[in-house]
Amino acid sequence: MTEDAAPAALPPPDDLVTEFVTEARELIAAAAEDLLALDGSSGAGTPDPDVVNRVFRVVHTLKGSAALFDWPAMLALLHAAEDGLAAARVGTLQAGADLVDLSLAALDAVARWTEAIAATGALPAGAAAESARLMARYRARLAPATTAAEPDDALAGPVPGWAAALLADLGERSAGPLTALRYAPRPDCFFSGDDPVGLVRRLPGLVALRLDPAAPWPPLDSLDVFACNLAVTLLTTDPRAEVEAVFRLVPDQVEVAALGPPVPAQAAPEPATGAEAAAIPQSEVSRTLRVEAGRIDALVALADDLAAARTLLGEVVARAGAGANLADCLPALRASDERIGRLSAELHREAVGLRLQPLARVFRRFPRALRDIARQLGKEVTLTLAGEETEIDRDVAEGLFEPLLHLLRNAVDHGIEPPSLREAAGKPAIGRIVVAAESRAERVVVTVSDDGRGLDPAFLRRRAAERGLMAPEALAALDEAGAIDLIFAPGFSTAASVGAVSGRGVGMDAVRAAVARLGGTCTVESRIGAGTTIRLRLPRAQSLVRLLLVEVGPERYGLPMEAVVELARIPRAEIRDLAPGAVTVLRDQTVPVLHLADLLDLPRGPDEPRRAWPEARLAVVRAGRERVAIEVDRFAGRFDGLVRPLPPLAAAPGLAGTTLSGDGRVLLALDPEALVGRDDPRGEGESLP
Amino acid sequence: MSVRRDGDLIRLEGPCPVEEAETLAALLLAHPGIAVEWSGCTGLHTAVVQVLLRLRPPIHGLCGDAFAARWIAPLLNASTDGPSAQGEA
Repeated sequence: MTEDAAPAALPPPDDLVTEFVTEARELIAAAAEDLLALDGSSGAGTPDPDVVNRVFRVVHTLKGSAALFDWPAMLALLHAAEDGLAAARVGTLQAGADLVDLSLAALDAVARWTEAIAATGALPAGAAAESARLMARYRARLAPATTAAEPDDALAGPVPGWAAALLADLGERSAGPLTALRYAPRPDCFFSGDDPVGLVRRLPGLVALRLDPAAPWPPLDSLDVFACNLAVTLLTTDPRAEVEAVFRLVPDQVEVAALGPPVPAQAAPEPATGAEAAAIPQSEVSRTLRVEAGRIDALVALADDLAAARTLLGEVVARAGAGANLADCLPALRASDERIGRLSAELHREAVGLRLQPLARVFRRFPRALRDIARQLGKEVTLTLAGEETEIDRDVAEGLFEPLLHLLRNAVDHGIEPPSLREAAGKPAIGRIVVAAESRAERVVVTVSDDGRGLDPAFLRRRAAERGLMAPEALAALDEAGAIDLIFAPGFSTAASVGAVSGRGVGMDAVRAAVARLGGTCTVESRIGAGTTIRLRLPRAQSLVRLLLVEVGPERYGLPMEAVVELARIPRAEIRDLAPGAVTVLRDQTVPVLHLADLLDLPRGPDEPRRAWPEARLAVVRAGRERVAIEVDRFAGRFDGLVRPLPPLAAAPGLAGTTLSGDGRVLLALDPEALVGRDDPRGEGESLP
Repeated sequence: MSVRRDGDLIRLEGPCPVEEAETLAALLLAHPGIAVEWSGCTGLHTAVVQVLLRLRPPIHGLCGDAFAARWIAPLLNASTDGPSAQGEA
């Protein structure tokens, strides 16, 4: 909500820069306040670890934002500050007045540079020199024991805190100089084709290696094998320049230090180095949201209305409590219910609106990423972005970056042909990739299109057969679209389809899974020689789903109302047993009848009382083009809830997610299509007399 | 085939690229305590190494990839009590 104070006379800066400036001002102000608090408390005893953590995260976030731009002096200084604070966090460096002063000086420099960027779009002259001076001060603090010892060795710096544990691992150290490297691969690095251990492999002089979790391992049920959570630290006899050459494509993720000849090993009992703090999962980074003031005003107004409505309701309750006839109170109660319902729906809509953000924030990161990818692969590609102003839920936007980056990489790697082939085919030598977004009702459609060689259904069939993904008859029965869809099959790695880049790229099944986690779907269209388009359909915002509550025995579930066609109570005699299942006739149409207990594999009671009930309660749902009647024990009303997807490993067929019911209990929401879509003959049990 | 179940072992064979990480993790999670035999393995992507580090299955055999045998095996054995390499690295 900070006002942008850029002078009107200047040309409007790129909005990404504006956003950085706004964010940086807020973060710096917050961190400076915390640092001052730290300074005040440091005399009294141990500094508050929460405060140190907070400052660390702010610097970490700032560093992440600055990394989007080409401001090396700022990035390097923030990196050094982050290291210093990381050491303070784990206790290897005291968070005393010294560190506070230095960190304030660093933040002050970053603040001045930020203002220069706001005014001119670039770092001011002298930033590099100032950055180097401050970084040297951080380095001196991180390894105070060695600074005085090696003043004459120009090449070798002090031993960084993170290298101390490795030196201890090494025990006896050879006499020669060593290079220490710390490499914190980005969590999404596998998607950009990186193989961190593969890089380490290229260091012939390796003498010590550690692979530590970059952040504490997440629990097994949220295991994501394609999120890199490793921090590499190593020592090698390879000279610094050669180490830097090996890691030149990931310069923002590594830190290299030349170590002089042996010095007495420092006590390093605990391998708690800054490395473990280098990568903080996104969710831990402070989550702030910038919001237009008008939207907050609207929310406040709605909250006022809601409070007024509650007051009216309170009066009715008081009247009823004082002995008024309940029937007389009913109209007032109904009016209150209607009014509160309308206001809460509006409040929800407004609140959800706060979470929307333009896709530009994601899209703007692609030109640079694509340039790097194309350079690595030796291709020439232009990228066109369209529909960046399309708004989408913030979490969906954040979750989209990795899958889209993967699709871009695929397009460059497998789609776009080398220039000579393109010219031979009568296409422009430079490949073209378009990333476009558009809003369609409650969905946002994002497409990634290339004008490359397209997918060859015959090749895909052959490959699927080789990999044994499908029975030969099933493969033969696929139409062209079905064959192209094979690229999403688990185990179908398109990477291997081009020998030279084996081991690159995660399967497209990972993309489809990532999109599904965001509540979306992913489809492909392709023509040989003309190109490929991948289409992602995503939910625009979290929305309230109206659920029909149904019960089976003691359990209660929610069926999305949009799938429910009608509710019916019919005499049980009207359900007929037709192998392999039961059917009934509703409105002159034959409809299969399945009991929810069977669909969910719920244990059957010993006496099966429900079969004795003369009446069956049916919820008729649409599943694809069919109608299916789901029998339940009871209907239990309606409920509006925000359905959240289940975590991937807890997901089960037939379940759409969870929502909180009015009394705070977790309610499972069903996915009718998946529920009845199972080719499952168990429904026949229901038809027994 | 780079990752496959063979009786009470999971065998890593040939190069094990990034996409095998998912297969390996699924097999290890489905069969707790199952050991991994990697003498036929000629290379492991970081994602595969990460799965081994995270799930710490007992490791059998000397890795067919010299780099992994020298540098990755000690990291995997560091805090497991399972049977160590039959041939010594």
